Amino acid sequence: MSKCPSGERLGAYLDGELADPAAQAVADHLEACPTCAAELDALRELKQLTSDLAVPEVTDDEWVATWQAIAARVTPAAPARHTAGLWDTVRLWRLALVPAAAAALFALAIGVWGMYNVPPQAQAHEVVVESVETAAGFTSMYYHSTDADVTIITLVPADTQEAAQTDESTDPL
Amino acid sequence: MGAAERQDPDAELVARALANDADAFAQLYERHRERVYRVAYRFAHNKPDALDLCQEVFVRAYQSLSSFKRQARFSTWLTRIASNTCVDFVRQAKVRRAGELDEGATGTDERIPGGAAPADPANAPLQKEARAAIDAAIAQLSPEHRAVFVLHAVEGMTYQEVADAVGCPIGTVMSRLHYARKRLQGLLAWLKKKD
Repeated sequence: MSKCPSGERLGAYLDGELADPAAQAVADHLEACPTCAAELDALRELKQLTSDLAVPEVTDDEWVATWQAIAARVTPAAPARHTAGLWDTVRLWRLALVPAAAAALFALAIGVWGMYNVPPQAQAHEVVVESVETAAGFTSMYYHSTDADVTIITLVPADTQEAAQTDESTDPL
Repeated sequence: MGAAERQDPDAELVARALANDADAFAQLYERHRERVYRVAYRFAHNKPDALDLCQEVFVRAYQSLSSFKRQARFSTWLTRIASNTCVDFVRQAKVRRAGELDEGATGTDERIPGGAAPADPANAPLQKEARAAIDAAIAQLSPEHRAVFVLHAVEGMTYQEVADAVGCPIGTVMSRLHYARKRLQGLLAWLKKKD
């Protein structure tokens, strides 16, 4: 007896999909092999069971409705006349805000970078402080920088200075 | 003009449809809608979804008609679109169903493929329930196995036609068909015992 055919081959034999020499070989085998013959019967039974499966009938109205749905989807619709509404306006504004926000972020980034990257010489300005007593009971304070053309002058009453010195002397700490 | 085109009874209608003849495509719909619907029903298991699938298949066919190479028959090409559409449908339905289960949904949605529970073997009057049981068993096949099984066993297509429609070699058709049959034999064994 020849070797048992595979399940795929047995199925193909049942379906009439094997060419003649191969089909004849399977037929010869089946006459001598009750196991394969029983397997073929089971496949035939299933084939019969599943070959006549009914589906619910579709009415003419349902076919027409289906076609209308298809036609509506495949026919290019005329472009609808569009009027800009409030939402469109808001959307335009939002679009305009995008570059503005980007510019603001850029400026902020530059500012932060500048704060943490101050040149060393800028942090160590030499400031000269001079004081001159005036005859009217005021003291003139001169603040000016050696590397910048800036001078600040303040007038402080002489008694305020004395009071501050007194407070310092009585501070318990 | 290729051999397939010469033998294809739809060749003239396809040519007219490609020339924007809407009536030609309507005729193609009338010729093939029944078969597309039968295939779709085996995946959807209810008429409304099957008709929706039918609609989707013809829309896809229309939209890609210009890519139809006419190396195969129009019917085979259309069946391929139907098969792919139906397989997509089952996969999406499975994802939806998994999502519903994750959310704690209970019960079985009969509109979802694969959701149909097999009929109770003890109570099923054979002639009335056998078809429902076979449908439920087919629904338990994977989309790929189901496509091959439905096209061959239910629609009567040859292995070569199924291979062309599904887009795989004949050897794959044979192995998928064999697997599907074995699975169905197991699922429907109780029907045989009841006989």
